[in-house]
Amino acid sequence: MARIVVVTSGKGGVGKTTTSASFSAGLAMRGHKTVVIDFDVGLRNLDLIMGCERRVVYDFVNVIQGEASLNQALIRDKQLENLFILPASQTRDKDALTKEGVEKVLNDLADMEFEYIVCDSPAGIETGALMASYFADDALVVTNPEVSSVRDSDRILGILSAKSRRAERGDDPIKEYLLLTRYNPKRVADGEMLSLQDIEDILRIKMIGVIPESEAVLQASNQGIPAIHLRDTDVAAAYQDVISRYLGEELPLRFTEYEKPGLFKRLFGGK
Amino acid sequence: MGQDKVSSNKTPSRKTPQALDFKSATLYAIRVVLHEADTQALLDALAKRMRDAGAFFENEAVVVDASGIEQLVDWPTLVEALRKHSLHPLGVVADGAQQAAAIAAGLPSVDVGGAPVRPTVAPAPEHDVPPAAVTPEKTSGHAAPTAAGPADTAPAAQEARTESPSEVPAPPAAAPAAMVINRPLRSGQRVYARNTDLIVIGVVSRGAEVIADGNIHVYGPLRGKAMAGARGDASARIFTTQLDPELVAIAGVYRVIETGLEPALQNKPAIVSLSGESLQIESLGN
Repeated sequence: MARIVVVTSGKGGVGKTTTSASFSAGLAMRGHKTVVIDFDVGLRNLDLIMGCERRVVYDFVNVIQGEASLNQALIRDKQLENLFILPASQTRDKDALTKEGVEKVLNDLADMEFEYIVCDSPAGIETGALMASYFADDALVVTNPEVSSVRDSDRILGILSAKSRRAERGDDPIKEYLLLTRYNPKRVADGEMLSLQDIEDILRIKMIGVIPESEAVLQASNQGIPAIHLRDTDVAAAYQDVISRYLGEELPLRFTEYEKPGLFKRLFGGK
Repeated sequence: MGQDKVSSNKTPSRKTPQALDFKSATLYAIRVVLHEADTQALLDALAKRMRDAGAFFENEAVVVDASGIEQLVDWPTLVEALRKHSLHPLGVVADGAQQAAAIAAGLPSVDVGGAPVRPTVAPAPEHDVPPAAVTPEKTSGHAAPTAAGPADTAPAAQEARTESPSEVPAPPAAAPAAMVINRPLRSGQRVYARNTDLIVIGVVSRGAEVIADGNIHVYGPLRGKAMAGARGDASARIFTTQLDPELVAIAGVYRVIETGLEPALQNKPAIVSLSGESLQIESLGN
């Protein structure tokens, strides 16, 4: 049984695609056959973050419209042999995504024995976002520690609970996980950002991880490497924790406390 | 069966020119559930049951439920037997050939649903929210009276603005069971409990709206907008275990809470009620 996971947020620029890339890579690293689908038709990004933009020949919309087979469109990840990418179209209109078309692709992927199907949702609450979340079993709601992002996540959670296939069929609701990205404990301590506790109190869903703010993410994106591959970084460790928690392990949250720099660090600088 | 309705309407001073009127009615009826089709067995069982019950079921309206049996029932005989026992068969619950046979014997098909349940309500569609519930936004922190008139038409609501609150139509008398929402209400979601109370188990987020013609109970933080007595019931109240709303309103009298409540009330269990023309917020318990 394939598990469909949507990575969503409502607001743009909070780290959905970064998370989709690292989350799917992390699942594949643990031996699960995984595919990640870019639902952002017209503005594709996932292939860049995954470093496979030059290998895109056919895309998601080609498959939906029957112009290419799934096998032709799926791109095998350059590092992980059980990770596949289904890129978005850059040229098509987003109305090309139909509920029937998306459902067929998801069913075909399940028949190909993918264990996890990760759907990278576009921002907003338009067709693309609704299609990405409609068939989901689980949702990773990506939020930044600031009020507008939290409000948009709340809105998305409402949509997930009302407009998904599970809601319409009266099945168990989508499992919702909160993923806090760009968390900067110092700025929280200074009162510039909402704290972990504030956000949990507002959204009231299970926290699956906190990804610290880091320049390494930008570097990884520019190089086309999912951030989870970056050795010896907080970001990669935090994403690994997310995978462990998603797969059922209980781990304490890390990288959430601000530690005042010690004398040594103050003298010699460094980040 | 129809006699009652006609006789109750024979007031001579009626203004309408019609000789009759159509109104809706809800009947109480006994459901006779058949477990087999054998005529003699049914007649015997009926006689025994009526003898055991004394006069308890006499002159009651009866709906015959044959939905559980497939074999055809001898409907004319059964109807005659029921009448002989002073029962008044009104209709039948059956389908297919069984239904056709019952209709042929003079029993109309009726729909009584499944097990007898209290009436419950589904959320009313967005456009059904009465105008009095959707109060205009005001930036003042003061309670302000607004239209609490009938919801049927916008002009009527306008007129009610100038009338005294005592002329506000009475809320519907018989309320169905309260609407229970067992999930968090998120920003952008709106729930309206028409003719009844609303119970929310979970958070009402900023940007969410809960509206009821009756009372509103929120077991969780109330952070959005809450409007009780949406059709003008001034006795409706809002109860919550954690009060932190954007707006509270009762019967159209509302208060926008812009900068938070006083510390004794903020995020505390509380009741909001209407006293005359102003909203009262009281802490619940201590």
